[in-house]
Amino acid sequence: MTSAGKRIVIPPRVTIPIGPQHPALKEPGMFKLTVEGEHIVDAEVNIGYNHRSIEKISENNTHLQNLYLASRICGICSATHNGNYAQAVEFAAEVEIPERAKFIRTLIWELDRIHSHILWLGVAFHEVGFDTAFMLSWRDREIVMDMLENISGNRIHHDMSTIGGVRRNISDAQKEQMLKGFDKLEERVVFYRDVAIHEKTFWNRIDGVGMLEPPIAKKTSAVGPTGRGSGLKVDVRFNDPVQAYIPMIDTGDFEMVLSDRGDVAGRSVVRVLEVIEAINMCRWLLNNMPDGPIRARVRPRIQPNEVLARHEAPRGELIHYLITNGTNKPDRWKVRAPTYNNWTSMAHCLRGDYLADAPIILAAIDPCYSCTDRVVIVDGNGETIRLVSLDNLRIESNKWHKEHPRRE
Amino acid sequence: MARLGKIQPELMKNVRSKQATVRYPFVKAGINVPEGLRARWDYKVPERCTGCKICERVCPAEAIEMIKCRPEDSQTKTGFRPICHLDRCVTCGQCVESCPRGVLILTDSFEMAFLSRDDMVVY
Repeated sequence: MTSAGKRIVIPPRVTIPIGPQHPALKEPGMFKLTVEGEHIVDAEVNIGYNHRSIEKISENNTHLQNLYLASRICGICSATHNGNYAQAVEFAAEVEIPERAKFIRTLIWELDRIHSHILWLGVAFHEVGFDTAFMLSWRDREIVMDMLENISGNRIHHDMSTIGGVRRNISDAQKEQMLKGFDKLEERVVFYRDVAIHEKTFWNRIDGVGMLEPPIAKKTSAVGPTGRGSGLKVDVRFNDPVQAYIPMIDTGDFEMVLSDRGDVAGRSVVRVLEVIEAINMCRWLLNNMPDGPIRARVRPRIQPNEVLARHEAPRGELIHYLITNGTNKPDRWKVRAPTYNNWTSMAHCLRGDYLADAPIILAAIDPCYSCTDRVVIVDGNGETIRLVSLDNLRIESNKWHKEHPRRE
Repeated sequence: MARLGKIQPELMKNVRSKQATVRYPFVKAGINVPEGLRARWDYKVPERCTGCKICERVCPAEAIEMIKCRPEDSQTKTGFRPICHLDRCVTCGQCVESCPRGVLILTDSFEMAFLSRDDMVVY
């Protein structure tokens, strides 16, 4: 036997840049995957190509105008940003909104979650090449989209919340129509749950792929279904309820959906079961909705205050930090969207998996690029764009704040 | 647990079922336009307008502009009237909500594609 037959070939390490403009990505993001043969040995995630300076624009807008700006941070979870900003302003003004408004706002949030999770499920089916289920699930997502359009007057940008309540009421006819729609939707979602769990073509592609162990999920502060798919008990609806979640969680009928699998399958199961849970929550909200006004009057000038509003968006915990200064414009508004937390955990998930599994691992955190991009510095004179690391950003921001002290 | 063929019965069912989509630009029947859809802006009741400029002030997209009343318009108290630039309008409906006299509405005509920006100004 010659030695040539026994020779072991070590594949060279190759770094593949994917993005920022890439036919497989719908939004601009940059992933540098270092591969040895087909195995991913290292992954680097770069973001910051979609900066729109929303936070800066908001400082020149009134609170009322910012509601619509907030809603346009993200198309899929527009209701969460819109509602959470309204909530933040209400916290700052220290006003209590009517009970019925709380219920309607929570209902919109839950409907938003249903449509977002079904959308994700369709994308996941698509990423593994199971396009039949992708199209079927998106067809049935129309049921909830029609409900939202019917209540709010728009399919995507619902803009239902306003400062002091909600903008539109829900009539009895709409309620009956929605309850009927939920029956149909639940039947369909149960079917997709069975497809996701029992259909071999899908399950074998996600089983054991993109492992995120609970300690690492905790270390990288994964939130939302990414964290819950790894067994972390992170859900603001249950941990720190607001609005109508308080009476709803107190009934004890609802439970946080958790999975201890830690892989993409775990995240999928969490999302699908959450849809069923959200449908039950919507039913409860509709059946227990109190009568009364839907809007409280809030003066446009908000007293000086500093608040943090939290809400469980479909992708995880969403934080709006707001400083008001006694005028009708915010002094500072900071949005921490859930995808931002999940990016770091994604780089870990990618390591050790096959290159062919990269799309589904990327999709598994349900990334939303537009929600995330905040720190890119564009120099108009030098015509340069650069991404800034956290340390440099801190130094620069301290310098800026020293030069621009806050108005008293 | 996992097996092949979970989706096959559904596929067979869909062979015979009704088409889920509408051939929209050619066929307009079957489009579900709900009551209260927020679409094209309209200056519905010009006689009641006072030209107070509240709609211009609250608009988050700066889509509403106050112009001097033209001779063919109904004259307002302040001599100004709103026009809407549809290319900037985000159809949020805040102007409709803020108008103290119910002058403005958002109609349900949702076809808002034009070849020129000049066509997108609603008088």
